[in-house]
Amino acid sequence: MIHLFEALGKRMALDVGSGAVLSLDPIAYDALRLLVEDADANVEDALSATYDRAEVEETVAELRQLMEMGYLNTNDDYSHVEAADTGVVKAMCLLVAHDCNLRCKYCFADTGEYHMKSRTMLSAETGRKALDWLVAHSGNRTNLEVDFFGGEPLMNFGVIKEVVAYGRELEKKHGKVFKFTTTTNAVLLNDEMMDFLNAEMDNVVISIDGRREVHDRMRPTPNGKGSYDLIIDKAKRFVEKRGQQRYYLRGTFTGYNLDFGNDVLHLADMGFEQLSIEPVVTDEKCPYAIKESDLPTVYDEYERLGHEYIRYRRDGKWFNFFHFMVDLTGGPCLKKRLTGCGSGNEYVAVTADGDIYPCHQFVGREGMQMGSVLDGSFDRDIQHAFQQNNVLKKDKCSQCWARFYCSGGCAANAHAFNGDIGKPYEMECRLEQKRLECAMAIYAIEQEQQQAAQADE
Amino acid sequence: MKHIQTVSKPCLNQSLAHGGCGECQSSCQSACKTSCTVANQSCANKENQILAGRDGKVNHSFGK
Ligand code: SF4
Ligand code: SF4
Repeated sequence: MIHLFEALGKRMALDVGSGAVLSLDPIAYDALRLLVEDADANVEDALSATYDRAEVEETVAELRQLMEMGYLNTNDDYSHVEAADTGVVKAMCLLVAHDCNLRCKYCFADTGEYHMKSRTMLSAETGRKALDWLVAHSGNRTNLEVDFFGGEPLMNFGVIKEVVAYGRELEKKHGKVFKFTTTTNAVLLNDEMMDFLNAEMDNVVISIDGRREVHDRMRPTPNGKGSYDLIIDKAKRFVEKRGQQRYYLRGTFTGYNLDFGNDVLHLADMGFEQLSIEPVVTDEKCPYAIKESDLPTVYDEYERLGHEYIRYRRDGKWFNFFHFMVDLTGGPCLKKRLTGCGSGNEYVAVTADGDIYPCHQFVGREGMQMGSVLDGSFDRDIQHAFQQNNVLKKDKCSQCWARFYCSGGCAANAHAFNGDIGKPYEMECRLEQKRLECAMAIYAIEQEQQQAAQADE
Repeated sequence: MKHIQTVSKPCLNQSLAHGGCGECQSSCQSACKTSCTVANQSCANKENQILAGRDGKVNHSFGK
């Protein structure tokens, strides 16, 4: 399978089976399109009215050569590859606080309650049991991830400290390495917390949506005021203290700010370097939903942001946009590409009550509880169902050009919108595909710039 | 080649021989918590990184 596309003014081809990415001139693009439709097409005749015949012949010869070299039209059937069903769990989202100090309108966790109608805090004891459970289910994996999540985890900072200290004890005892992370809205962040997080957290995700008016509209405090001014200086200080490393500013864009590129650039202008702004996922009827009819606008905005991104990075204002990152030279192994996020299989979420769910987004959903770290129960059948749900087993994904990059999308969204973890949510697919195209084009453009710079030297 | 530039060479097949150690990061944890993209992740296995030629990863380091 070959995917031909245009993004950021580049004509590109992705060879799905090999992972080769090519940049094409107009003749090559048109010629390859004809060959993709019909391998025996007489491209020379078809294109000689538009282009010089000798040029067309030269192009077709180049394309044929790439096919022989295994760069184009390669076998993309990897159905024989099985990701091992080990039953191992290596990552956990720990809901330390089912409560929040903000009232974000799009919160999937229902501002911490997770539709469970209670605002509870994780106890240190349950937290310790969760780590014990993780170690017990981690087989011979060394690296274990634990993300402190909520609600707002810093509302229960004392317990985070205790759980981390306990984790460090377990590391020694069991030869494991805990990679702790925290996702926070930064409202409570003070110097003590900053120092602790910088010492102990492998990654910290801070939620900020971008420009003040955009952020404040969706992320108010309980008394209805905006929260931008409460957090922006703290976030800056924190990130500087952290040396601009191992963090993300993570925002959500909605139907209210389809010009979200300006939010990304706002944060870049503020000096933040690690950015991720993502589309809200919600019912189309919601006033701030991104609707199908908005997609052309969103695509254009990704393109515009892509151009700005390249310009910023070239002109010494380097930043990283999560969805424009793609590692084309190697990246994750194929098995990883098949399994994706690992929810319900290698990755679980644990509530303050010790209940286990396939991931943070599944928490509170009926029929999705997998067990409890308090009594050690764990439903291996659910785990197996998630393990089996890899990208090649999903009808839609197995035909999709993006399958080895997207890895099958979000099971929680598939379940929420289509009632089936194997049926990806269409809106997500379309955005994912567009971002991937932009990411590959950006990669190609920056590579050209780099080669040109090297040639000048 | 005159009409076609190689942006990146074939790489998927090679990883079959070395991949699957499972020590890498779980993707949703890394940034977004609402979606999953694995292609931008790195491999936790140092040996594989060298094998895969990760030094050349332009998109991560360019201009920095
Ligand atoms: S974009 Fe959609 S169809 Fe394609 S691999 Fe991802 S989830 Fe599957
Ligand atoms: S199912 Fe979706 S929300 Fe859950 S871990 Fe996977 S990508 Fe993330």
